[in-house]
Amino acid sequence: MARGFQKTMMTALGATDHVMTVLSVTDLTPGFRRIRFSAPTMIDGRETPTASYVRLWAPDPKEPGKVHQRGYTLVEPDAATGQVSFDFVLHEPMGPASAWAAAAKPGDTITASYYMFHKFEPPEDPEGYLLMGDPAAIPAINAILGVLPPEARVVIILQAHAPGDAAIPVTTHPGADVLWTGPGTGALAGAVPHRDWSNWYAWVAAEGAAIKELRATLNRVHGFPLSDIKHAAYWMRGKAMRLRKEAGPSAGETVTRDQPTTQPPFVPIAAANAAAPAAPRPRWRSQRGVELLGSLRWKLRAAGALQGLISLMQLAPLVLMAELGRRLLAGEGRWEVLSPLILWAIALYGAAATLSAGLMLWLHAVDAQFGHTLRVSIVTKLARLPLGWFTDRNAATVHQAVQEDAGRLHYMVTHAVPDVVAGIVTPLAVILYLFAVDAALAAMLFLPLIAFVALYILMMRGVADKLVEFANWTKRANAAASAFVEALPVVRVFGGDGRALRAVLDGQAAFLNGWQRPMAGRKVASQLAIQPPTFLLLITAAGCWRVLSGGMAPADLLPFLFLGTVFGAQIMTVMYGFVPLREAKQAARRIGLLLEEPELDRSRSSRELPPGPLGLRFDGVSFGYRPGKPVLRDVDLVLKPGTMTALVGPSGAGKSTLAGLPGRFHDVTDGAIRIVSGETEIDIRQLKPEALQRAVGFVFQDVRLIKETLRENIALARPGATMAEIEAAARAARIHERILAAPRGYDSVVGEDARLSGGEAQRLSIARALLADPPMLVLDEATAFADPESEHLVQQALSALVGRRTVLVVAHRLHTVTHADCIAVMQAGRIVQSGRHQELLARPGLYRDLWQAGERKSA
Amino acid sequence: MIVAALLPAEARARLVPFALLAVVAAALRAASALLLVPLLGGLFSQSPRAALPWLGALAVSVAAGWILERHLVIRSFDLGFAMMGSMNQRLVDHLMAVQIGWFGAERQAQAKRALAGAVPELFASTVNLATQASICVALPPAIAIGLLFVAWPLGLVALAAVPLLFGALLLGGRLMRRAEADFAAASGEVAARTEEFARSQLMLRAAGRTGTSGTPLGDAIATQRRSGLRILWFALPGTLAFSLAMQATLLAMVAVLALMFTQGTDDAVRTVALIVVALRFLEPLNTLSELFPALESTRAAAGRVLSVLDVPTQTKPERDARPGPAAVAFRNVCFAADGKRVLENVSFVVPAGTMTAIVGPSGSGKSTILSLVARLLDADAGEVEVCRHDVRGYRPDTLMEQLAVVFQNVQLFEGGIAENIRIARPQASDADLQAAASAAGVDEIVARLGSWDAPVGEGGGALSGGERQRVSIARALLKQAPILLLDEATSGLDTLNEAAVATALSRFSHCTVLVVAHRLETIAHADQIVFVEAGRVVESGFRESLVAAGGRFAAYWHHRRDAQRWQMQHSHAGALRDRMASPAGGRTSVT
Ligand SMILES: Cc1cc2nc3c(=O)[nH]c(=O)nc-3n(C[C@H](O)[C@H](O)[C@H](O)COP(=O)(O)OP(=O)(O)OC[C@H]3O[C@@H](n4cnc5c(N)ncnc54)[C@H](O)[C@@H]3O)c2cc1C
Repeated sequence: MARGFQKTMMTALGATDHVMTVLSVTDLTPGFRRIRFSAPTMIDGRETPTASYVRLWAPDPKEPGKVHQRGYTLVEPDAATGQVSFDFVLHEPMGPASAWAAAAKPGDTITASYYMFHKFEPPEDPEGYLLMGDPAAIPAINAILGVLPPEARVVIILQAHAPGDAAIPVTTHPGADVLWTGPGTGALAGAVPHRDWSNWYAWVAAEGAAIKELRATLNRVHGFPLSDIKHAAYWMRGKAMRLRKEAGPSAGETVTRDQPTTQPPFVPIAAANAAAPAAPRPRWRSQRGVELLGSLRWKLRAAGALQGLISLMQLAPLVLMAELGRRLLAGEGRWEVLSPLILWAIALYGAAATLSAGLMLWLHAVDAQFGHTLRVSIVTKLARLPLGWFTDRNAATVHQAVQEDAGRLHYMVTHAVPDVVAGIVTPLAVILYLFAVDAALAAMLFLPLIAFVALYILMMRGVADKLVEFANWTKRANAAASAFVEALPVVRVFGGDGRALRAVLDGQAAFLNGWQRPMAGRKVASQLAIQPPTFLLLITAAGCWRVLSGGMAPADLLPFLFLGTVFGAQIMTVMYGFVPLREAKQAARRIGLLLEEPELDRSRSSRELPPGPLGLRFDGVSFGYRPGKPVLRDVDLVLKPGTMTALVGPSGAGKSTLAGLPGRFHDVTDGAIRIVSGETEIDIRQLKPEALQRAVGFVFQDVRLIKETLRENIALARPGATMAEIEAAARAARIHERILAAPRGYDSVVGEDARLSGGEAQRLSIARALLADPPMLVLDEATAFADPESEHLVQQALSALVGRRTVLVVAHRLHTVTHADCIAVMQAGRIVQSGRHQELLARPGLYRDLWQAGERKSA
Repeated sequence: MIVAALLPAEARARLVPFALLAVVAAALRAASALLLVPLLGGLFSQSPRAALPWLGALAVSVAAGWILERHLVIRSFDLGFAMMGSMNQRLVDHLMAVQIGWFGAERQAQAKRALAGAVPELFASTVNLATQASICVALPPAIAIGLLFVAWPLGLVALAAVPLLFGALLLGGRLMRRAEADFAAASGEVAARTEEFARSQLMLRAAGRTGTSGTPLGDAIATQRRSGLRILWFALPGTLAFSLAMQATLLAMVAVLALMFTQGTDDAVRTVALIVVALRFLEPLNTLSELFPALESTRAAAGRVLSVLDVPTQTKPERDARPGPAAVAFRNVCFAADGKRVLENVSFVVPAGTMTAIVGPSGSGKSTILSLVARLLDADAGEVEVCRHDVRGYRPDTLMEQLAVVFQNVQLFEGGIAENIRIARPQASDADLQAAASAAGVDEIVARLGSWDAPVGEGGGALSGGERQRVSIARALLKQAPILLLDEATSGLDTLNEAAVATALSRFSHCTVLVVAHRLETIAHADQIVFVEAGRVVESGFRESLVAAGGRFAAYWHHRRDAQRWQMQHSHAGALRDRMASPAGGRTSVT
């Protein structure tokens, strides 16, 4: 087929052509060749998404002038020099692309089209990444490995078609295991190890049949949901990649995220299956969103069905009116003939309106219930997560879930579903009805639609590139606006005219102008094609012709005039209606992920606190946020009742992590933390959560107050406390007078009429801890004051709080803890020294170094 | 009006022709609809060929409509571009003249949204919606008027229905909007409470308050649910109002036609044709109701832009004052923000060539004093004088030439380090720049980041608080203005930073210095102390005499000295202290 047509299609889909010149040719292995190109028009500073690819136009070895397109992955694009490499598998038998590569020498040129659609987009934070492929996929796998975070777990399984393939360089990644398997269609599928793959994400690309089998195996045997497998067929055994197959950007590598029903037949792999252990069914968090919406499914389906009925009922009066017109024209103008039609029309209209209102009421009720359940389950979930989960990053997760995603789901339930159904049912019913009336004329109604689609495609020509550019401009404008607004004080003080922002905004405007204005004509044309006047003209003109030529009774024109004109406008509604549905699905998925976060294990937490003074023992404690990446290693530490222990050491040593463990911010990965009372020792995991909270109090520099009265903020841990107790605590924490100075004293509300400074909030939280009166206390950064003016008050309050409790303090200023009963010096997750200040100072070691550095500073 | 306000003056003139053309386009569409009456009359008659001339006329009017509408869309592009270009400039100009104190976190976000989000949205709506929407508004009245000539009773009904229909559309929209706003507010409240709940987990769990019953979060969730149901009582009449109006209109029109038919005014063919016209009459209203959400969001975008343009700007004097000797004076200055007193009757004088330290508890208004000098804020009453003139008497450039500032809120802009320093004196030589930078300890940051052009990130995010302040100090050093305004950072105080502050102070020792001081060293060096508490100057004078007087400053001074030597330890002060420490008589006192 002519290259012309394909090129038109591709250009329509947004690719642009680039000429690339060979700079150098390197054989990485005898069958795997890297060619570096100069491609300044392609690598022009725009973002090059990870593992994106080009379509090379490889010349036909036999027929000069004919070209074939083949996919190749960008390797090491360098925006600064405009250079990029491609790795070519020199396979036997060769095809046009490999043959070209085998003969390439510096100075040769070749044309390529570049799409930027193709992106490596794994779900948020999967458990690990399973990357599989054959040599053709290695360039893509290498690119992916280059962007995975170093702490990610990765399993790479590669297929060698020829013995030399195993020598192809693979990007190293600290968390990656590389496995090689041999040739054969089932080899990749058979090579997947049996293990718990829960929450892993798979990216696989190789020969077509192999991929088919692999995908089925991952799904059926290893439990991967299809949505968590990204698969691509990079080539077909025994077939030259045919042109036809590659007319679209994703024809060669179909990326499907469909339902299991469209599965290829599963080919069991006997050997692998025999070895399969009867493991518990793996679970993917990503499926939780589907489950979440599951409760809504039948309701939404019912709503959709009802909406379909309503749409039909709304059309029926028009049909009846057409019938009325027909009877009028036929001379049956008597009231008895006409009145039933009119009455029916009115009744149907009324019924449709009532039903539609009813549907809306019901959907809102469903939504209110669903939203309520959703919010309650989020809150319940939050209350069960380990405290360590609540980081800044996860605060954003909560924000996303409760602010944005909940709203999207609301919109979906109450609006999107009926809109989409109405948008589909109405035109469909109309066209079916009109076909029944007069097929020839009904068929004509498609003409404007076809014109619309054609004009639309014409308009979308090259639009993908432009959309990427538009997104870039939007990003730049946002960034520039942010920078401008934030720098306004600087601008005010040092002068400035907002030139940078103006330039970006003008650039954006000019870009929009340059892009949209030439399209304006086509855009109007496409819209005019589906406007009512167009349909009106078409119907009357074609109708006249049909009537005059005797093909149609004049009265048959009426249904068209009544129903046919609005036909086109609804196309747009449907086109836009799907966006919120998709967004809602993603929202549900994100909320689902939140609801799937692992909870603190409380199954054994049933014991009460032992009586008597309490101490704490860290017994061989190891901990890591991710498996295989310990933050704390084998820590032994004893806090005797009534003693003060200080944790010191360079930042990043794990001090704060260690200090959080007694509160079960996280559970240890190894070892145990025990509460000690005389002879009794109880693992903190066995304590009732309330008991543990009562036993260990925390004071941080970063203080949280809630939007309640000051009194309630203090009494939070003991809602039953008397006013006298609250006041006593406030006095001891040196905050009483400040509270009295607030407009409504203890009844002032935080954030409304009581605005506390950092030091004041800190004292309030100390008052709170005093009132809660825990026997053990953890102070983290509590001495790194944000508020030098009231430092001494905080210090006094802290002294009062420390009292005679068992204290663990993370100290940043060494001289504040020289009186501690024990100073534990931490480095890289271990305790490297411990003892009293004088002892530690007497020996060479980290403590002495830190101390001396501190002395020098203050000297 | 909104539309006109959005457009630049020169483009406003183009609005009238645009509107007129839209009316003509609507008239053409109306004509096409009305032409159906004779056309169908012909087609359904004994000699259907009689319809052909009318078909021709219809074709002409539809084609004319196409041409006109195309032209309108292209004009709307012109309008859209004129709007976008001028609006961007106006927003930037305006924001540069707004008092800095206006920009809280929320308002910053508002300004950013207006700049980067609202304007392109307005452009898109102008281009995509303006033509359609204006034609749809003009079409029903146009058809109604046309009907007056074809079948006047029907025309009268249609004309009467026009305000009813538009009223119902707007009413429905308004009710929906209110309901949605209520719902959004309730959802926002729950969301905020849930976020607070997440943030306060540690505390709430210690308090055993993790349920939803009886807590503010529980209340918010319940309210939200209720408002989710209440939305119905608004939304229901909202949607019903419009569909009822539509049906009532159609019914009335059909009734009139039936009447005319039974009375023999119209024959069957005309009646049928007029029903078709009646449907055409209602059609644009359906379209409008579909466009409504988009029009609403455009309105909201316009509102966002205009609300920023409505923020008052600072005044500029007609004539520029000539700066005298470098002194600073406050006379009975009052300042309030968001209705809260920040400064009250503040008076003091910083004589030229001396250093004054402003000292006091946090939140007492110290930084505000500096902002008033630099006119980042304007006083509500009283006078702030710089170099013998009220700050409002200077053109902004002239005032700023007198000042070198190191503020907490005047930090870095996105760009390289060198660029950030050079802004103080763009014509400075590289050597001067280097000298200023190394005096402020910036070369150490450059060494860490590897380059003078290393980006500092948005708002200087790539640097620590102390490092940002050092860059600011280098800026001040490079500027060499007669007056230094310095706000010492309280966070990220490290040795290098303290050294930089010390350098700045010594370099400016012959100049006039006003410093918000936290470091005892700085306070010790000042010629004058101004002690501020709760927005008032409670004491001022030389340090020694203030300490000797034993007042508020003396207490402050002693506390600060003690705090530096404080050590954490178990209390050994005996039972009294213990009882205070644990008011509930906790077990710790039993030893
Ligand atoms: C998105 C995408 C990215 C790709 N990236 C790369 C890349 O970076 N590097 C790369 O080398 N390939 C890559 N491929 C695969 C490459 O496009 C195909 O291998 C292509 O078919 C080679 O074209 P050809 O003209 O050499 O052979 P063809 O004319 O297609 O085929 C000739 C014969 O060779 C066989 N054959 C084709 N490809 C292979 C192969 N890889 N191994 C063994 N036998 C084969 C065929 O079955 C046929 O019998 C990518 C494919 C896609 C879809």
